[in-house]
Amino acid sequence: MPVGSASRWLIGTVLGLGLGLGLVLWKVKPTYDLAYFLPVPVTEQEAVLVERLGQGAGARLIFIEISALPGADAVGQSARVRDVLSRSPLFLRVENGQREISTDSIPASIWRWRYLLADVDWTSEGLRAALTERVSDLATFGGPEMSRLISRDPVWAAPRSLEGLQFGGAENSPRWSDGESRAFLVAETVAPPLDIAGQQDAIKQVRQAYRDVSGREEGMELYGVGVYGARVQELIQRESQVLGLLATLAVLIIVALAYRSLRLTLLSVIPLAAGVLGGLIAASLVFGQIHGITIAFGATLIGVVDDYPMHLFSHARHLAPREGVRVLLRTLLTSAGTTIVAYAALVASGSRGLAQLGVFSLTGIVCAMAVTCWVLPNLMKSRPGVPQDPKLQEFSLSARVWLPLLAATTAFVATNGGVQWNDNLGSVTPLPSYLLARDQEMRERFGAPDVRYLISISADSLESALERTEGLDRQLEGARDRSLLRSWSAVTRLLPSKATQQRRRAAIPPPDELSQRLLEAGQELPFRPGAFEPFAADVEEARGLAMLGATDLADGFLADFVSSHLSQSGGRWRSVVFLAGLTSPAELADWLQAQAPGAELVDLKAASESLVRGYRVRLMTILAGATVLIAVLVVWSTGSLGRFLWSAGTVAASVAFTLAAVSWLDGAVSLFHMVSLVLVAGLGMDYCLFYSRPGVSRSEFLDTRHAIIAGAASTAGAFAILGTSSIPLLSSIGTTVAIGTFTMFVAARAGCRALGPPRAHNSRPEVRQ
Amino acid sequence: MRSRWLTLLLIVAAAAQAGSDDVERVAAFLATLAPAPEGAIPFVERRMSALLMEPIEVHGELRIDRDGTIDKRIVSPTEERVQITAHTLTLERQGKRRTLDLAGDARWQAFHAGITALMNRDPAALERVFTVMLDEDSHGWTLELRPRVSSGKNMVTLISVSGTGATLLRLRFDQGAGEWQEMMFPQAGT
Repeated sequence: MPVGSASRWLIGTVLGLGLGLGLVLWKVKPTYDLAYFLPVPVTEQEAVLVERLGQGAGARLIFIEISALPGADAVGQSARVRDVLSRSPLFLRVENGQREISTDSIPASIWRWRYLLADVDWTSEGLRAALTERVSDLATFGGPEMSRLISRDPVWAAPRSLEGLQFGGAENSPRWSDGESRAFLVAETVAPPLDIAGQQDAIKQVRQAYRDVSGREEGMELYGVGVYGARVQELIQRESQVLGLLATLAVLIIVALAYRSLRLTLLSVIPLAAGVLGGLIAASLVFGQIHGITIAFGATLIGVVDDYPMHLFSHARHLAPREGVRVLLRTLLTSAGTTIVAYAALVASGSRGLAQLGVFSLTGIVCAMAVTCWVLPNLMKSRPGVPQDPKLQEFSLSARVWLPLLAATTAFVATNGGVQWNDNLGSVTPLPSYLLARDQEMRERFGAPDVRYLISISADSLESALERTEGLDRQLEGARDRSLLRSWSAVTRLLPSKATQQRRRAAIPPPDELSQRLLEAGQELPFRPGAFEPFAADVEEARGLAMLGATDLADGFLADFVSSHLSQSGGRWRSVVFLAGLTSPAELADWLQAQAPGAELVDLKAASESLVRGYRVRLMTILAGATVLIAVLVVWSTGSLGRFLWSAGTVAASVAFTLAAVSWLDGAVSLFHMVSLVLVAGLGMDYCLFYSRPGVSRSEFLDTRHAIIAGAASTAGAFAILGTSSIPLLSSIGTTVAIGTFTMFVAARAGCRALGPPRAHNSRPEVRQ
Repeated sequence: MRSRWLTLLLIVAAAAQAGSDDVERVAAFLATLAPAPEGAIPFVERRMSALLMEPIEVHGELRIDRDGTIDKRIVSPTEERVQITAHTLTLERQGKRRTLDLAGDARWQAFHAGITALMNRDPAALERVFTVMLDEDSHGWTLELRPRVSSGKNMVTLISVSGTGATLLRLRFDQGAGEWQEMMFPQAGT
C-alpha cells in the first residue's frame, strides 16, 4: 500500500476520533442518580419503593456530626457553624436544636393559612380553654415573643400545625447531641439532591464553616443523599480515571510484549477509542444523559474489543492485513454478533441504567469491530507473509476440562445449598454498605420515619387523594388506640383537602361574634382588655383567604414535606403516610383492610427484594432467549453442530464455574455479577469460535492461539485491576470478568488441540493482498 | 491627644482591676451562702407579661439536684411539672408529656450552666456565663447577673438574686419589654 494512502487513513482516523471526542465533550452530560440502575417497578408496592429512593423525605438534608476534641465544646461549635451557614444562600434552613418560640420562626405560609390548617373550637367554651392554657404558657415560658405570639394566635393554630409536621409530633423530638462530645446539625440545601455540583458547593461551605469555627479539618462527618451523590461522583471519577489508566497501560504492555511493535501497540488503541467514543455518543443520544457508572464501564469495553485487533495483528504475522481480515471476517463478525446479542438483552432488561450499558456496549463493539476490519488494515504496514500451510481439518475438541469445572461447581452448589442470590437493593447502588447503615442511623436520630413500612393511598385526582388521606388520618387514631403504631405523618397536616379548608373557613365567626365570644371566654382570666385585637384582625383576614394550594408552599422545607408525601404518576396521585412505632405490621395490614380499604401497607424491604428478584428472573429469561439467537449464529458460523456443542459446553461450564467462584468470594450473586457473566460468555464464545474455526492451517492455528493468549492476558489483567476498585459495583464486575476470562481461556485452550505433526514454516515471502 | 489615650488606658486598667476584685468578692460571698437545700423547696412565682392586667401568681415546689436537674412542680393555678436538665426540657400538662431537646442551643446551655453554678456556689463557672455585680448593704445582698452570650428574643436579659445573710430569698428574671418573672422562697429564711 502506498505510504500516502496510509497517511490519509491516519489523518482521517485522527480527525474522526477528534470529532467523536468533540461530540462527547459537547453532548455527553453525566448524571450520578443513585436510583438510575433500579429496575422498572411492576407492582404498586414497588412503584412506591422506587419513588421513595433518592427523593424521599429529607433528600435535601445534610446531616452534620461534630465530634469535639476532649475539653472542646461540640455544642458550641455546632451553634457557631449554624450561625455561619444560616447566612449562606446555599441553604434553606440550618438547625442544631436551637429554638425560639416566636412568630418569626413559623414559616410564612403556615402563619398566613393557620386557621385553615388546624381545627379550632371557636365557641366561647373552646376559646376559654385555649386562653386558660395560654395563661399556663405565660407562667411557664413567658417572654416578649411568647406574648406577641399569644396575642395573635391564642388558639395555638400555627404551633399545632407546625408540630403536626414534626415526625412523631411534639412527643418525639430529635436528639441533637450525645453529651458534650458529639453534636449534630441538619442543613437543608437549596440544590436538589441530584444536582451534584450544587451539593458539592454546599458541602464545601459546610467544611469551610467547620474549619473556621474549630480550626481543624478532622472531627466532622457528613451524611445524606446529596453527600453520597457527590461522594459517588468523586469515587467514580477518581477510580475510573486511575483504574482506567492502569488497565489501559496493562493492556498496552501486554500488546507490546506480544507483538514487539510500537506501531501495533499504538494502533491497538484505535478500535478501543472508537468503541468508547461511539458508545458514549450513542448512549447519550438515546438517553439524553449518561450515568457515571456507564462512563466507568467504558473501561470494561477494553476487555471485549482489544481482542479484535489482536486477532488481526497475530494473523498478520503470516497474512497481509487485508487478507487477514478476509480470512477472519466471518468468525470476527460472529464473535461480535454473539456479544451484541447478549448486550441487546440488557437493553430490554427493564432498567434505565442497564439499558444504557447495553446501548453503550453494543454500539462500542460495532464501532470497534468496524474500525478493526476496515480502518486498521489501512494503517498497518504490509509485511511479507509466508505460504499458507495445507489446511488442517482435524481438531481434538475435548470435553475433559468441563468435567472438573462442572464437578467443582456441582460440589460448591451442593455444599452451599444452591447459588445464593443477592436480592438486596443496596447491591445495585454504588454506595458502600457502611454508608447506607450510617445514613439510617442519622435518620432515626432525627425522628425520620420507619424505613420499612408506610401506607400508600392512590386516587385519580389530587382532591380525592387528600380526602382519603384525611379519612385515614382520623381512622389511624383507632389503630393507635389498639397499640398497633405510635405515630404517623400525613400530607394533609400541611395541605388539607379543599373540602376541609372550606369547612374550617366557614366555621370562623364574624368579627362582632368573635369579640363577644372572646369577652365571655376571657372572664376571670388575667388578660388585659384589647390583648387579642391582633388576633381578631388576623382571623378576619383568614375569612377572606383563598384556599391553600401546593403552589403556595414555596418554602423549601414545606415543599419538601409535600413532595415527600405526595406524588403524581401516570395520571394518578399517590399519598404516602409515614409510620413509626409499629408493633405488628401484619395486624396493622389486616386492620387497614377492614377499616380503610384502598389504603395499603407497603413493606419496602419485601418490595425491594421482590423488585430485584423479579428483575433477575426477567434478565435471565431475556438472556435465555438471547442464548437461542447466539446458538443460531454460532451454528451458522462454524457450520457444524459438533463444534457448536463443544463451544456451548465450554462456555456453559466456564460460566457456571465462574458463577460458583464469585458466589463463594462475594457471598452471593448480584445483578452486576450477572451482567459481568454476559461479558464473560461473550469473550468465551470468541475464544471457542476462533479455536474451532474449520479449515485452518497450522500457522493460522498458531496465530489464533497467539491472539487468544494475548487477548485473554490483557482482558484478565485489565479486569483484575478493576476488581481492586472500592466501588462495590466496579469491583464485582472486575472480579467476575477476571476469573471468568481466565477460566474460559483455560477451558477453551485445554479442550482444543490441533492434530497432525508440526510443520516447518516455509520462509519464502509471499504477499497476499 | 496623648493625654486622651492615657486617660483611656487608665479607665481600661481600672475596669480590669475592678473586674478582678469583683471575682474575688463574689467568690468570697458565694462561699458564705448556705448550700441549696436537699429536697423540695416551696416557692411562689409571679410572672408579668404585656398581655396581662396583673402578674400571674404560681405556687409550687422546686427541687435542684447536684447534677443540675431542676424539677419544678406547679400546684396552682393549674397542675404541671417542668423538668430541666442540661440538655432537655420536659413539660407535663394535662396528662401529656412533651420533651424538647435543648442540647444544640448554646444560649440555653449557657443559661443552665450559670444557674447550676449559682446553686453550686461555683464563682468561676458563674463568671464564664454572666457578668456579675454584687451589692451588699445592711438589709441584705443582691447579685446581678447579665448573660455574656447574645440573648435570644425570649431569653433573660438580667437575673437578680437577692437574700439576707446566707439565705437566698428571691430570684428575678427580666426579659425586656415589661416582661419579668419573680420567684420567692418564703420558707427559706425560717
